[in-house]
Amino acid sequence: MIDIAGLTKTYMDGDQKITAVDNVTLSVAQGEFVSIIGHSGSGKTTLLSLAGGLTKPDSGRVVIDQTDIWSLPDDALSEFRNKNVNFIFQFASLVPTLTVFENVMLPSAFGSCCEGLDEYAKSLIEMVGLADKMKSYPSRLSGGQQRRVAIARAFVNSPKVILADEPTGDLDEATEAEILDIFRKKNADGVTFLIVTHNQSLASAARKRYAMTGGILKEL
Amino acid sequence: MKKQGFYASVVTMAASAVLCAGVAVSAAGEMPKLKGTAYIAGHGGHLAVLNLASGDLDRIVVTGAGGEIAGQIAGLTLDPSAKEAGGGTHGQALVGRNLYVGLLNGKMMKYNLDTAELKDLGQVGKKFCGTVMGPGGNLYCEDMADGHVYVFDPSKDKAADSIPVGMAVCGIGFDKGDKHAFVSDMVQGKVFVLDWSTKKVIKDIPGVGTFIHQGRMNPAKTEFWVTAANEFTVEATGPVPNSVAGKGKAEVVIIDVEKQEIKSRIDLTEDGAFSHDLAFTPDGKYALVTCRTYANDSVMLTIDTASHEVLGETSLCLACHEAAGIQVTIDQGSPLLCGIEVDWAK
Amino acid sequence: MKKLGLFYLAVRNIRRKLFRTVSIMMSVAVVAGTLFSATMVIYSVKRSIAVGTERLGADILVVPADAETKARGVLVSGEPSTFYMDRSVLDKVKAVEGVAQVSPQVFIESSSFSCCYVGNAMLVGFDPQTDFSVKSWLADFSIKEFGPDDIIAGRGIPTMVGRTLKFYGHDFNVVGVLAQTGMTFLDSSAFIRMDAAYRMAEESAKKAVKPITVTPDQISAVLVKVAPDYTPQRVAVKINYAVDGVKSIPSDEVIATVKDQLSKLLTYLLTIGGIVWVMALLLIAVVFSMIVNERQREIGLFRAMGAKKGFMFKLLVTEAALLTTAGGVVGVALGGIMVFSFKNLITTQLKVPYLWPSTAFIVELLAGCILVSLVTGVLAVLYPAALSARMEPYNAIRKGE
Ligand SMILES: Nc1ncnc2c1ncn2[C@@H]1O[C@H](COP(=O)(O)OP(=O)(O)O)[C@@H](O)[C@H]1O
Ligand SMILES: [Mg+2]
Repeated sequence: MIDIAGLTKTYMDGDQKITAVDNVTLSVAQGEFVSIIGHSGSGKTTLLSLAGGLTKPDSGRVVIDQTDIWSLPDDALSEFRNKNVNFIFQFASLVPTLTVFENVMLPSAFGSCCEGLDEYAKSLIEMVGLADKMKSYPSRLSGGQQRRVAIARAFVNSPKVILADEPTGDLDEATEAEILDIFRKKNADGVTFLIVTHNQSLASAARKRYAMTGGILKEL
Repeated sequence: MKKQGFYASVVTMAASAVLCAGVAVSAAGEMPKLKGTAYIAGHGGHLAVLNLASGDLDRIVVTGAGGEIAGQIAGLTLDPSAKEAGGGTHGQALVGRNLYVGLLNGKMMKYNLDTAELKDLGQVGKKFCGTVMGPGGNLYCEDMADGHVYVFDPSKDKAADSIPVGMAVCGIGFDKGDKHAFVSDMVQGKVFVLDWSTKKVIKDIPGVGTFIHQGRMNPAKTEFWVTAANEFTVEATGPVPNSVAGKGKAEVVIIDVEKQEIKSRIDLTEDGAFSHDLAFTPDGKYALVTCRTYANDSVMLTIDTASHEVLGETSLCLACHEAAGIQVTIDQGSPLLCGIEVDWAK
Repeated sequence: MKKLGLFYLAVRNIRRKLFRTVSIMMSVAVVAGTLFSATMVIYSVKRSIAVGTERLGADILVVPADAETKARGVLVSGEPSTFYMDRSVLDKVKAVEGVAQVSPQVFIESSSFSCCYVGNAMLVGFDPQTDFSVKSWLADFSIKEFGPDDIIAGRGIPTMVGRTLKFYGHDFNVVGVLAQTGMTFLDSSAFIRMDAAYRMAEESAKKAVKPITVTPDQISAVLVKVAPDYTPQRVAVKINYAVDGVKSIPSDEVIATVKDQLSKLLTYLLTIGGIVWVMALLLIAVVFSMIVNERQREIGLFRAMGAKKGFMFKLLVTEAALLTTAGGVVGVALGGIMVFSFKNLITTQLKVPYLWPSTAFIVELLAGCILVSLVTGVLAVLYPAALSARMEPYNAIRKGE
């Protein structure tokens, strides 16, 4: 499903060169659940962004579902993301002017929308346990609730791949467990997961586990 | 023998006649000795007063300064940077001892040469160019703003008529018996011919120039001389300065009054003289042509009307301005003179 | 139908910061309001004067030389005033070359109606034999005989056909009320036969509290129609020359004078409008640059979820256009209210009549002003919008952190 080969990304910090992602090769089969752990600054977020088409690699290839995503023009890449990939970011990434329901529906604003998406979105919100907050605005939600909305949103476009960057970052254990449960369910439905985490239980839930240090990826 | 002597004397007489004629021709190349007082209007609002015999310069202050390019001419804005001022003289005519001066703001002023009394006769037109004595003892004032010829009756000091002619008219002249009037139009570069009984335009003579000024009829009423300095070419988009582009000739264009067509041109480009108005000597032998130099002076050229030769040039501004300590601030610092009127009696 | 479209998102964004939204809207409102009200006033006044002089029906008004200022006042602002000259002027004017028709009028100032009406109206006596001005109105009312006790009232006089109006102790039958001209001279005057005016004057010594002294050999003005080949201006010069003690005022010159004043005012207003416009442009550009900066993470998020560059660009342009268009609407509304409520002030300040423009003109002007507002928004936001579209999604997300 995801085939990464020789992926490298460097940044210039003043006149110092930082290799955030250093010649990473990684293969994730369809329906797999892969976790990556590593210290902060080790290049995890950069790797996810390269894999999800959010930042261009200096060299290397990212093939998702037989598409070499970095060979696509920008508009086609956007469309590809809209149809096949979705993200859960480190930060609570909700739009403050939209309700919970609208936030979950957001990806539909950028692509053609399918019949019954409303119902699906509602079911996702129910799934994350926020059925009674459908019309609430993000500012009325707790940090954990906001994160759950972001998770519900990640599935609304029925992506083939979920790229999650510390999705349980600052959550209590009960919520963590719920989210892990959701991931498992979706994984069982065939969604491929690539998750960056500090969380041991989440990491250990993965069949394949990697560690990242100084931009270099190693299988554990 | 007697017969031979007769022949000899005839030959000698003929020879001496030819010789005399030759002397006369060469004498024409010199400045004539003229007597009279010339009054020349200018944008500065004062008239230059030139004693033709002595060459002495003086001035009469009539009004404040103002340029003709300022404001609008025939609805066109020629120079948006030029400030419209309250005055500026442009043409004047002598009626007895009174000098009637048409101003660039369309007012008429009356100046008595004996008493030095100056009288404001009020608003008559919009922007006067020439003021010329004509039929009925009236003054004919050409208006550059509305293209009318205003008829001003000096016996009542009142305007009697306002005849629509062109767009920006400047000079007028009348043929024998006042059958026709010839009127020059500045921006159209034409001379209009009017049937004077109906005061209607019956013909126009195009191609006189691209930017022409005042015109005068010679005393014999056979030639209408038009000053065509051609500073601009007026195009649909607006006026384009010729001087800047280096094109355009400064000329005096002579119209054949009988045939009502252009007869000849006197090129003054080399003299650097941008002709603006002229006065003929009473005998018609010489034309005194007032010209702008667009430098620090304006001049008067004396032209032989038969040979069209420029006999001499007289400075009109510099001496007087220096003596009076006058700094020209309008028209890019150049003293621009306009109409000339000569009192041949004084 | 897609609920969560670009337009919806833009509307939601506008609601984000009230103060900012209101500031931008008001800056555009000032521009649109100035443009709208200035054009309205100027157009209205121009139209009023044109209609008024057309209604007057005369090319030239000949009045006593010393009454020129008063007469212009009567024509332009309708200030009632009286002035008289000898009747012999009429024949002298008639003899002038280029004069086609002449008709005398006599003005009687009347401040005291018998009842109900306090205001300075003017009583105008005209001569039905030679008249060419009032006659056209008579045709409007299909009156064949205008009797000695008949009167036509201007729009501004509170009366109606069939009523009577009392002037100086004399009752007149109202046979017609003029349509609004916007010209106070016509709107607040009443027209009677000249002979009736003289008779009324004669009787006023006995009947009225304040008698009037006008004799049949006195007239106030001569209305002139010029021959086809002549311009009013030229004939005016000729009349002034031929007839002593009078001043001829070409009616188109009155229009020209007012137009002149108005165009100066217009330039002034439009200069102010232009300055405010540039300031509004800058303000909007700066504010939207700030917005782009603030929303970097959101821009990155949108892009990650599949928004194309064009979408981000359009989103911001739509947002700005919505804001400025709304500002434009507010502006023309405020401008409209201002013009409407200050109509009287405008009229007295400028000493000019006022007539509302046609609905079609107002609609076009409204549309024009709102379009200008919209274009302002679009222009101002081009750069910030391009900036937001150009951001790399990951960078946007990171910088927003
Ligand atoms: N846009 C950028 N510009 C400069 N340096 C960056 C940029 N993105 C990441 N880096 C650097 O790359 C390294 C890896 O960052 P990141 O991928 O965010 O690590 P992690 O997610 O593992 O904490 C860090 O040293 C970080 O400072
Ligand atoms: Mg990170």
